[in-house]
Amino acid sequence: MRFDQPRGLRQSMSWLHTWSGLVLGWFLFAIFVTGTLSFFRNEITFWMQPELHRADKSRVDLDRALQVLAREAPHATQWSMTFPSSRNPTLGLSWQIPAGGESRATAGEAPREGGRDRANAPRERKPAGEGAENGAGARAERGGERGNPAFRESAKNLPGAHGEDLRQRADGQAADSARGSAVSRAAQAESAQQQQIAQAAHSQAQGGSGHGRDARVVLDPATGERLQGRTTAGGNFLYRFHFELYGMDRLWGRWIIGIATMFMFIALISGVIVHRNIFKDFFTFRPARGKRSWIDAHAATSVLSLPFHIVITFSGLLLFGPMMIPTAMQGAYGDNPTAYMQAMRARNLGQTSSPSGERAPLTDLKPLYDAARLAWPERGVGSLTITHPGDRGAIVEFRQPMMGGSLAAGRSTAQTLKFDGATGERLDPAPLAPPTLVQSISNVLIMLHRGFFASPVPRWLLFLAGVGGSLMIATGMVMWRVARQKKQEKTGRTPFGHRLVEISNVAGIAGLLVATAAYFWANRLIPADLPGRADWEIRVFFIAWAAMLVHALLRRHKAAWVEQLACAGFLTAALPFVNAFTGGLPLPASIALGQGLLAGFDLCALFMGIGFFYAAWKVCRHVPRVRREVPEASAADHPADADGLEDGLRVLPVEPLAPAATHLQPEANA
Amino acid sequence: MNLGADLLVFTLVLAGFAAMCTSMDRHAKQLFRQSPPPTVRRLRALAGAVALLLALAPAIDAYGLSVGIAVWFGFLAIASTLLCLLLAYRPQALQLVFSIAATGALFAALLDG
Repeated sequence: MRFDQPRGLRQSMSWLHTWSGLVLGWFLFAIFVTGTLSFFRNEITFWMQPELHRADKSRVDLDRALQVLAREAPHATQWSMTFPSSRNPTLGLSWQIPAGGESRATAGEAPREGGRDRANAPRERKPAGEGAENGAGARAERGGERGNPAFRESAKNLPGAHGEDLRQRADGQAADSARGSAVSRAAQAESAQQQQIAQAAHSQAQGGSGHGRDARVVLDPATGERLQGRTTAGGNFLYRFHFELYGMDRLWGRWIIGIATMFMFIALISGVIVHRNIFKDFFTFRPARGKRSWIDAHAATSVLSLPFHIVITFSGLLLFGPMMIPTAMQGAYGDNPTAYMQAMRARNLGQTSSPSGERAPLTDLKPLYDAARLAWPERGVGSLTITHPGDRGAIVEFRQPMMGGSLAAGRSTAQTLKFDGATGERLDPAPLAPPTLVQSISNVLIMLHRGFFASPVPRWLLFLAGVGGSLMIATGMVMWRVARQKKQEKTGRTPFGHRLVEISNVAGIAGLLVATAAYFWANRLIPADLPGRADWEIRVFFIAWAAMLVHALLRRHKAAWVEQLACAGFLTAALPFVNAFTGGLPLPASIALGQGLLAGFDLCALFMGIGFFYAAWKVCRHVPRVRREVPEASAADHPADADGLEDGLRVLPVEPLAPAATHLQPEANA
Repeated sequence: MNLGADLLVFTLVLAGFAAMCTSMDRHAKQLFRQSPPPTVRRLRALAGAVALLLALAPAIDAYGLSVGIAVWFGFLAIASTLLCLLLAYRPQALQLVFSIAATGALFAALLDG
């Protein structure tokens, strides 16, 4: 586009769309792919621990589980149990042991903590909500990954949506046993200030009780046998990568992703403006027509899932909101982020119990468990928490699986049942303040982004829409290159910028697919008892990716595409076989046993692998279209051609869908 | 869990979009050689839109307001993508798909109550 000439809105928007999409496109593709996989991160982590695949979830041996808890953690302040669910068939046990055995302090400690934060961590003042996400949130999350029972407690302390949401994750994820993962190790390397925040938030989350230890055990639900899952970075690596990258300060990673998300949002909006005939071209895809086909494919993948793209991008920004625009929070709470957290906590926190100091045996849990199961015949019982076991003041709390439900009210509808641990008496749940309208909207958007649903169908829909979004970005990137093909042929040379985009396209799109598949291979091929194996999984991911970049540099454009797509196809389609031969539950068995999440992973890998193969085959067989002899005048009519996209969408002739054979023939009048 | 409702939403949306396809000039020509009269096309578009809106009801009923709308959009995306590919590669099959979807919708509506 020439800036020294007058230009229309659509032309300007087209320029904006092209460049805002191109500049961070590979980032966005990686974010979309890893984010899409993150909808199933529990399932992915479970797949990556083949030792757990044969757990029998047909019944739950509650007594055995309690015996294990009593043996392993007789002095714990809290025991937690995560019951098998459709997303994880194991029984997770975890507990929390206080450092000095002192009781949990009250929330009154928190302001002091806040004061310390303020004095020591100038950076924390600004991103207070970030502190919540990044500090307590991230910490609590990591705790959750290790099955820290303090997690639920700390989650309650988090502001608004996050607290609600993290509490959900506690239940959805407590069974997720990516403990001590490289991800959390990476987090340990973060800056001192971040550490400060995390620590403060952590101790605050625990009510100031200090450095409680926590541990976690995974049992076979039916037999009570202890299962030893391998250490793995799991789905959590992909999940964390999609919003804070890897190997850098988390805050930096989040800022980079936040900026990329902003670009995405700009590209989406400008894309809608550029697209002249959204409704007329709604169902239009014209294959085998060169640039025309790429434009159609890009437009179709964008328009058909547009609501998803907009919501996922906007809610992604919303999640970064407190970090990127802390103004509103600062306006209301000044320089004291803790005050914000306190206010939010007051909304979300039920009261906590304190031990009486008097010993009393725990009541028989069987009837309570049966009562809970009877009360929730459809959703079932998600988890059980026993606070102060063995004390007269013990509390037994059952909770539904935390997976959304009706979000119309703006909060999860997961219910709890509370009992007195000594007498078995039913206790009334603490009333929670109803969420405000703003909170409700924020909760809904964030839960949609994170895909917490009671039923797998919405999650699959999100997954498919995410695949559509990834295709949208990929086709857009390829289109930029295809749109410049003609000019390149005319001049007979490839400018440096074009070659750069070619290489980045191959390495960023096909290369990422190879790296992701290699990551799953690494999970199975690295010895299960190798120290630091989770780090190695991640290293393999990046090594494979870097290798693909080198490959793309060395090979010709088309050859690079074919080889990398074929490689991705092979690596991905072979995953079910790798699974079967490295101790996992083979696909036929997982189908027969109704292990839907394993079968889902394997089938998905198989289909996607075949899809990559097909793409490789298509690229390999691709012969550039016989170019019609275009009269010189016609080319001069479209000076904007070099900008590619606007030409495609703007000067879109309403071509009749002629039978494929005729349009390839030279024009009769030419 | 909500399979009956899911099926109903999907088939309704698919049938609705298929009807809309046949109401569009370009695709009508592609399917029937010549475009039907405008009144017929307008009626088809209306029927399609009604089917799409109708599908919102079982979705909200099964999933609640906010998730229901999200689920509805999800099925819209899948159905339209399917039809888009169908029109590109197997346009003749559109009528068959429409019949199957419409029958399926009736069947699912009966099942779902």
